[in-house]
Amino acid sequence: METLPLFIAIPLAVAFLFPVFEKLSLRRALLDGLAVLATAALLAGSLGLLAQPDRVYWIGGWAPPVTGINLVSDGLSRLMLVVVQAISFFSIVFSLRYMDRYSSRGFYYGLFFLLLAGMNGVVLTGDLFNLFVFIEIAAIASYALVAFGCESEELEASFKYLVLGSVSSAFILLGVGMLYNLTGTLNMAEVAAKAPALSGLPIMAMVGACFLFGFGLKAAMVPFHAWLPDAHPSAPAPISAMLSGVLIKAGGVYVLFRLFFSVFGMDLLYARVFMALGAVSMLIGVLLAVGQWDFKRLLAYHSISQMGYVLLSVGVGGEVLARGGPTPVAALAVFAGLFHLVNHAAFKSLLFLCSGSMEYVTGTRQLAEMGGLSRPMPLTGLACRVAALSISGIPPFNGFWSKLLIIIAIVQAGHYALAALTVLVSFLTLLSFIKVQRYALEGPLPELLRSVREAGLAMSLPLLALAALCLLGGLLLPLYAGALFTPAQEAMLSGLNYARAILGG
Amino acid sequence: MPDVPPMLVPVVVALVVGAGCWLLGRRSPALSGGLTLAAAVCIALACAQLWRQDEPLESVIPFFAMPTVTLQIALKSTMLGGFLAFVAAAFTALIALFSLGYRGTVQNPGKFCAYLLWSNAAALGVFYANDFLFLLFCWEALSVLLYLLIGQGREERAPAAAAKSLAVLGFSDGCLVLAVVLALASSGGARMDQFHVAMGGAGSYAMYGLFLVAALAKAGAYPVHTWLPTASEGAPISVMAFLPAALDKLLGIYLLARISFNYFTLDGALSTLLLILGMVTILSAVFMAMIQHDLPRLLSFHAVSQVGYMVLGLGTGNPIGIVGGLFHMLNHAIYKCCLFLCAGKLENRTGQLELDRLGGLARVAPTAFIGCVIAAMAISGIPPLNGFVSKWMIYQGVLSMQSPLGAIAMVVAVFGSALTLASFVKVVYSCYWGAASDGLVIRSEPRPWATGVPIAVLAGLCILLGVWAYAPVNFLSSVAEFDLRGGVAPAFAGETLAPASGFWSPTTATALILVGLALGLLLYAVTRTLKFRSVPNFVSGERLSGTAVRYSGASFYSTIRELPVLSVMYTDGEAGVYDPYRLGGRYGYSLVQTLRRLHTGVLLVYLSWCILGLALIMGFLLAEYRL
Amino acid sequence: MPTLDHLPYLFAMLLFVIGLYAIVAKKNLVKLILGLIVIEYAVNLFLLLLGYRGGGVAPILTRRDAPAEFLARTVDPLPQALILTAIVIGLGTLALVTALALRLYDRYGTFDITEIKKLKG
Repeated sequence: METLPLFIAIPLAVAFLFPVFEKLSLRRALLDGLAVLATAALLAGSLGLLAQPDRVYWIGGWAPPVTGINLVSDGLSRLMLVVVQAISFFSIVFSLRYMDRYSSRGFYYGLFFLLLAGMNGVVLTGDLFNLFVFIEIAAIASYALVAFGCESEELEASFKYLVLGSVSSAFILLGVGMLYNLTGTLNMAEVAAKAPALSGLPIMAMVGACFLFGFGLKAAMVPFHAWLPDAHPSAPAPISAMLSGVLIKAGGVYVLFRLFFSVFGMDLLYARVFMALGAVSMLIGVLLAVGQWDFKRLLAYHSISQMGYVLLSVGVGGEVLARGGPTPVAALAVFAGLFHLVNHAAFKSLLFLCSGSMEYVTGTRQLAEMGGLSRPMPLTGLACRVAALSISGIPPFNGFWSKLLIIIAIVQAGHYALAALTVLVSFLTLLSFIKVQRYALEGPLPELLRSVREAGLAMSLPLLALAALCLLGGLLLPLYAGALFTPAQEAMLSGLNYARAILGG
Repeated sequence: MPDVPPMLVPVVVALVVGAGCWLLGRRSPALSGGLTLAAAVCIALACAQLWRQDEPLESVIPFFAMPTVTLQIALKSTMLGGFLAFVAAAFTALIALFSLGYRGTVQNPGKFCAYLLWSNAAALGVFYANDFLFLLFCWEALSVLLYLLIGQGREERAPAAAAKSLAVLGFSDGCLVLAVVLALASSGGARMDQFHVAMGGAGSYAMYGLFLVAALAKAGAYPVHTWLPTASEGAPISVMAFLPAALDKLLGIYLLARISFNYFTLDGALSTLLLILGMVTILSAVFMAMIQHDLPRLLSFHAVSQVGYMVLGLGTGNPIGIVGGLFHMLNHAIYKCCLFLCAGKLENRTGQLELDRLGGLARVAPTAFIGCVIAAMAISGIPPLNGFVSKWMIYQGVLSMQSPLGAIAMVVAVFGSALTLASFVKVVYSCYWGAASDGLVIRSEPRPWATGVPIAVLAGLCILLGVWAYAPVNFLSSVAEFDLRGGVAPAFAGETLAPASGFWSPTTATALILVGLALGLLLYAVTRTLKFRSVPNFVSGERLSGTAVRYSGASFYSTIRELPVLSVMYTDGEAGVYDPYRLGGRYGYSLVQTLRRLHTGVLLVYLSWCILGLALIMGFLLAEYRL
Repeated sequence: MPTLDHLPYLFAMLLFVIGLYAIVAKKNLVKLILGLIVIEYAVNLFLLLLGYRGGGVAPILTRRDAPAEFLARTVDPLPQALILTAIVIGLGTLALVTALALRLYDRYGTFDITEIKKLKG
């Protein structure tokens, strides 16, 4: 049986079950069980997919020559699929206990699975308009989840996020429309087949700019970033982990990669825009993060900065490719970018979950009001420390390896100044996470927090699992790189061959 | 069973036993301490065995490779590396023993032991590394382990101290990352023993500079030394004695020697740079040390100052200077570790480390007293102790440069030595002589042998390496000749040391040393008379009792800081004007605040950024299409 | 050269810019939302224009039509399908944003977006 549509169908179906269950006042355990089961099944399915070759599923059997809507499983989508399922599984397990603070569990799960369905759809679809629809599904779910607490800050963040998100969606739709007018098709592979004829048309600059802005905003690249530090911290912690951990990747960075590598074909201009966006985001994001005292806001700014790394590295790869440089260098740059993307998903969602765990027991997100938490909360403290060292690029954790590979790739591509900038940003990241550790985990425990205890195993287990991933992600790299990263990197580097792979011939 | 390369065995042992201790945590300090000691002794023996191998051992374990990058564990036991690995392991064993009897604050003994062993493993990794990326891995791991070790100290002060150390070391590690990556890119991924860059062009100097920052920061030399005194404020004494005093010196100077003589060539410009850095380090730190009231802080300023001598020695680029620098590195590790351990023993007995509060402890802690006196004499360069021999060789090296800068360096070095002596007279006086302070409570030690033995061993080594200096000097000369040979300036390539001949010959240097000693004692005498005028104490017409008018030795040199120019520099120095960490912090902070003010929270502003960004991208794309 | 045929496109673009202007320049939440709606409609109009064909018939295939000849005469149906979907999505967004605006008014007591700035820095 074909499994690809299930990645969209299961979460979508489950999403609408939850509100019904809620209305029927079914027992909480049933809701929790269903949520965990669904995410676990999806995670298992996505891991199983890793072992299988590339394939295309044509919905309704409308295969070429009459192209319909298709779902594509290639290296890049499989990579993203695994990341999305893994983080959502851990977030759901964490939510079991954490969401006690909120009412209407059923709606929470419903929105969560809507978000998941949207992201899976984005990652799998091979159709431009479907891409837009799935992005909107994920986005609307995330607007609602950001406002889930209904406090004034949360509403404000959600509103700003929504307005900016809608504007970017309008531009995306505009771009899709223009592209349809140019090519007469919405299928990405068919567009890719016609892309060589399009390059050089001035209208393509408009299309490119629309997509770069639209998805650049979803990926929160500077200067389109301003919604993120409001929205991500306002959501409940597991949702922050989902938004920072995967949504900006699946809905922003992934689409940029897919469109500009596989559909339009990387050229020097796009690559330079990628690099510029990446470098600026990296620097501005980290500078803003250093000054933060709200733990989650600090983390949110780091998401901008770390995504900048990914975009910069991949952009460098694209640039090398476009100028006809050595392919191994381009491959390394893309590989490193993807590796960092996965690592960021692991350590950033871990950090957000840690912040949630701390907020759950201390009732505050302000670093200045915390202190000495690693003593009463050893597990959270350990996980938080591991994640902080990972994101700062400290060996032997995963962040060290991906940042090192990124810097090596940038130097091999000959961009020495950018390499120095990357190192500088890494240093600033370290500074801000030294601050986190110093004020949250170390020092004397404030009088108010004397009675603080670990919030229970349901919250600690996902933390420990993610911490283990952070540790092993780098050390076991040789074992899984071939299954996870190499196919994705090859999929991106093969560029416009995407069309041939899907349409055949 | 797969073939494990012999150099990896001690590393793995350290990692595994360390993990065991980490899991033990607070449960059984004695068990984890004992395990650590046993493991450290075994590791030291294994390293000694490796060092005694005639042929350098080599092995490569592949880890991960892509067409243009190879991650691997490449190990090679070189003459210098192998020796230093053994020294590092030996220090670990001594510290492990000391920690068994240390009563100062250590938050979690199990984790402390784990970090100790892991630091040892990482240090071995650095010394055995034959691959730049593996070196980088271990080097950065050491910075983090130092951070974690400092964090084991007193709850109120350790976090700040640890944070600053990691910040400064993190910056230097960043420089090392860049240097290593550039080195690999420029050489096409050469192993360390194959790597050599001819000087010329900005690239080679930039690379050298980046390596230099990393080496100097680890060793603690100007201008990236500022983490060291701060670390001493929070770290347990055993940590200070272990990493900043001993291992970090070995690591930093090892890298400095490697880059100066193997990877690059120390040419005139670089030599001048090193000499100047060395001089500034010696003087700036020793002046700061003079006025300190806190014993670890004072010692740590000396730990900075002494690095200046090593940098000076290596900076001469001639064999006797290089050997002197390397020997001084070894000697410094020994006597500075000893001094810190003596301080630790005092802390054990009194719970105090403020010089103002200590006093008259010679009878209470005789081991610490004797050890401290010997080590203080060694650091001040008094014959026949080891510090004298290495300083003497450095002076010789500086003088034989026969340049004006060399002469200046000579004077600075001698003057620095004099100030060091003066400073340590103060230490010995205020800790061990004079009257004890009123509130000083003498406690008993749980295991006096555990703290006594390391002090005795190190003090003994101070004497041994001074009196029988031939053996180490001969060994280090062959290191300089065979292991570091690649970069020794051609002018000196044929020169041999012949230490046996001119060793004790009365030269200008010896005379100057004596001058230095005299100067130091003079300084002491002068300030002492200034400070100890006998004044009858009347308060409100009543004569105070004898005990109330106690003069502490801690402010012996307060007069120095009143001197015209120095007073300004001291004030600035204490305010952090010369500290790149604080300077950077201030400017960075204002930049960050400006950026934050831009994010006003007004949606319209954010939207206009978006529109602006869109316009920029579109303009860029369109402009290029036009062309 | 732009001809009269381009005029509708120009109007669609103008509509788009008007909407954008409302979002960037207007402080009132309600006007801002209206701006969003205008933008959406501008894009929808644009899509509709893409599928337009002068003198074309509605793309409803009846039994009497011969497919080949029908295809030559009809307007492109695909954009219309897209617009339908986009309208539905727009409706969802609109409902959400209106609810948010009402809640915001409850909390902040104002519809002035420049006053709603608790989150900053």
